[in-house]
Amino acid sequence: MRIFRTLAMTALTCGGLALGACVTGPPPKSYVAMRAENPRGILVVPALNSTVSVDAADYFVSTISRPIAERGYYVFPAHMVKRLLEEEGLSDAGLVHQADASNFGRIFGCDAVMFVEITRWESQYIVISTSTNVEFKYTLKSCETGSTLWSDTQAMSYSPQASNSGNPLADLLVQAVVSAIEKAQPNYIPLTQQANLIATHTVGRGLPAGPYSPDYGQDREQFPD
Amino acid sequence: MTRRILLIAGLAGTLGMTACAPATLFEWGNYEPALYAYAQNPENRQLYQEALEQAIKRGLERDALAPGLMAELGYLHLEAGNTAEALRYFEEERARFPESAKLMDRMIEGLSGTGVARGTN
Repeated sequence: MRIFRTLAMTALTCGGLALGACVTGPPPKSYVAMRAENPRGILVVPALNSTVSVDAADYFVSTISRPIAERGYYVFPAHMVKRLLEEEGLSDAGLVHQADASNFGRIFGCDAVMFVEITRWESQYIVISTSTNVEFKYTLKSCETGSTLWSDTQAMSYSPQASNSGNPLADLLVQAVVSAIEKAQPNYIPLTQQANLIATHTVGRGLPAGPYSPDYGQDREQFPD
Repeated sequence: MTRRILLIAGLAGTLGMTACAPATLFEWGNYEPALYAYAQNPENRQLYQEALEQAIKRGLERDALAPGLMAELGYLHLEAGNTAEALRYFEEERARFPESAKLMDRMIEGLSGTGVARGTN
């Protein structure tokens, strides 16, 4: 069962990678503010957890730096930043998220700050099927003016499915077992990685190429004004 | 069941590779799973440190050092009281990523105790 789950997760993540790399979905956003600001360094502050799952924000931090950096930006050391804020008495993400973005520029020297709110992080067990759901709201603000440069929302769900073997009773049992495993130890991380990847990498919707990307300054068509 | 999942995994993987999987800009090694493990349990601190060291080593080898990793490692050394090591990594982060200058200068100033700001921008 464990192997199936791992495989399914791998499939999900690979699918996410493929999606993130080249899917064009809804119409592109406007990148006027983003181009005008042209940020190089992005500070990711600890996520604001609006769910009842106490660990969500602590786990989230491990998934957000890489996808932003891979778009070509300098991303400040997320864990160190979290500790520094705690030292400053800002261990409450609510306070951090209320602060004016320009304060972060003064302290950290960032060009932009990424606020992420976790609005869903749960595993629901209904009859014999389990679905794991996450949802995030992303807001990138200028460290200079405090204005919003980019924003996005991503929701992801995962339901392990046992396939049809032709024996309904056996299928039901297998489904129940698969579901119970997911329920006992839901794996939020692949879903979170997928959400972050799609949010930041989708053409016309994500982040335009930053200064460390070979596409920097050459993607105005994909990320229009 | 296994076959179907394998097929899906294979398909997704193939799509990812043939369609347009980008080569990663930076070398991350096990940074993500190790930081997750460390967040789950502080006893995994050593694991996190080793993952950073390995990702940095590999990153330097292929000229793809990921942003922030030197600073993260420096901060672990700082927490452990190894100020010389911490200083070395903060200076290295600053040299390789000018975007980090302001923060690294603050850390370096704090460590050297001179209170003299280095070339700020």
